[in-house]
Amino acid sequence: MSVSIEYIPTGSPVHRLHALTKLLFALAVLTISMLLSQPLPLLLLFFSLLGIAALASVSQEILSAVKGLLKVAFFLVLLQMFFYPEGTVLFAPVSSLPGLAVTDQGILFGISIALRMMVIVTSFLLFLTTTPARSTVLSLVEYLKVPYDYAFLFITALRFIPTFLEEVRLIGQAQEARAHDFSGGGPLARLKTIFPLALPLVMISLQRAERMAMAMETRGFGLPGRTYYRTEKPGAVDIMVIVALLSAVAVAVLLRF
Amino acid sequence: MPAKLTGRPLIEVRQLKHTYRSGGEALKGIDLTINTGEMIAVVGRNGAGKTTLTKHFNGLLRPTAGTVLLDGQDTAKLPVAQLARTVGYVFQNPDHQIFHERLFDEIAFGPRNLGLRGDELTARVDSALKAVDLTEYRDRDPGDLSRGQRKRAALASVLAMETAVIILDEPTSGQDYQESEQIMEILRELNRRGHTILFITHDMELVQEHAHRVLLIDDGKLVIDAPPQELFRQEQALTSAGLRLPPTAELEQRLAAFGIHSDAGTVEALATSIARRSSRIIARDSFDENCSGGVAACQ
Repeated sequence: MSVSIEYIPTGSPVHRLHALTKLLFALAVLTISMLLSQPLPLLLLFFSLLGIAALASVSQEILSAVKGLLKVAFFLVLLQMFFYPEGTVLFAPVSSLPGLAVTDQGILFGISIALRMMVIVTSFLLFLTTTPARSTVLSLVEYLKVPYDYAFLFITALRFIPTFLEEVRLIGQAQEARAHDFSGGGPLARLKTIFPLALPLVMISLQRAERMAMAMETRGFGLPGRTYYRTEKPGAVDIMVIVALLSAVAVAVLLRF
Repeated sequence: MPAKLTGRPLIEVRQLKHTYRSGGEALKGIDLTINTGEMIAVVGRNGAGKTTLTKHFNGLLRPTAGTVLLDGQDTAKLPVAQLARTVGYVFQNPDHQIFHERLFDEIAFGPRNLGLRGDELTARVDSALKAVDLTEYRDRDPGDLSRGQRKRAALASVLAMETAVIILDEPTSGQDYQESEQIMEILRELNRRGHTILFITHDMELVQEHAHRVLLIDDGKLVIDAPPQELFRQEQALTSAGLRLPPTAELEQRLAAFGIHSDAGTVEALATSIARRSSRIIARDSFDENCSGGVAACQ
């Protein structure tokens, strides 16, 4: 199973929304799913997320992730089913242990928990697949006043993941070409076989960091009064979506209490 | 000395195709036979498939289609660590392999993996260090060496394995002229002693001076497989593969248009041809003057 949680540029209306709007969306869905306790509303919420995925043209990625989530969900239902004591007993697998009895409410509760998990994960997957990390970080800096240095650290870390994977591949090949066997023996022996891979990786990374720091300083990193080439302002649609999200949360709160 | 082989073609490549998982078809059907004792240059523009091709010779990459036989055995069925007994591979970036704190241990890593110990190991490492002129750094931290020296250290770490075949990915990149010459001289010496050498390069002068055979790769296909002098006559093919003739070969071709012929490919041979031709035109005394520089054949 390969689940992609990368940004998938499809240019849909969802993609064109401001990063903050989509972050707020994920948080709103999270809040609402916590307030809902019945399986049916949670199921409706889940299907509306799938609808948004279709609108964003990322259905394929979201559905393949959902397929993986179903296994976890099934496990969650099983777990809750046996350890939820209230409700009418449907059947008891071990008659001497009444705690293990399966009740009607237990099943419903398990399904709710599983659905809630799927709703929360799917909403964040939607956020990640439709929003470039760079936009998220920049809007955090601009609107939520996160210090740029930390934001930069975060963007850079994301940016270098593929580079590191490529280095790992090349270093692995270089050591294999010198007859090094990475698949050796027990757990301790295996740990030892990692050194020829890990040490060059660390050294290359340190060198790279040093070079990058120099290159950044020569280009004026850290000077005060930084401006942004791209400023992303929330549009009218964003305002409408944000208002809708806040009202939805408000309704959910009112219904609950 | 390299290990005894069966005398069959050393490397046989049949209809080799390779498609990367990202979807790019890097090799589009390559047929090729390499015999023991050859000294082969692999040329082509960046991204043509040179590295992809050579990484099939020691199993670092496995064919998507077709076969690569090493001494008659299918490389797809053997682990890289075993193929490494026959084929050594020097990577472009030495920092992808260096991890020991002492140069000696770095060079000894490969031979140790092959099971060498004791005096034989020491002898191998010391002779490899000597070959790349790094003996004085034997007990130093390879991290403190210059990039050129680290590059030669990486070469030594493969030399010490004494494999029948040695493949080098751009062995002279980042080296100054003298260091390049030194590396190529080491390779020639190994070749004289019976090792089969393949090197990837962008330096057409190196090809001209050191290779017996050139493989020109373009867009995943083997476009030309010929000795350097023959390759240089196909200027059109070279240009369309993003390469340029080495200056002497280009000069030869331009001079040929004036009826001055030479195909030795050296500056000296060209100077001789030009001087011969000039001698028929210019006055005898000034000719003597010009030839006093040392071209004996002027007379």
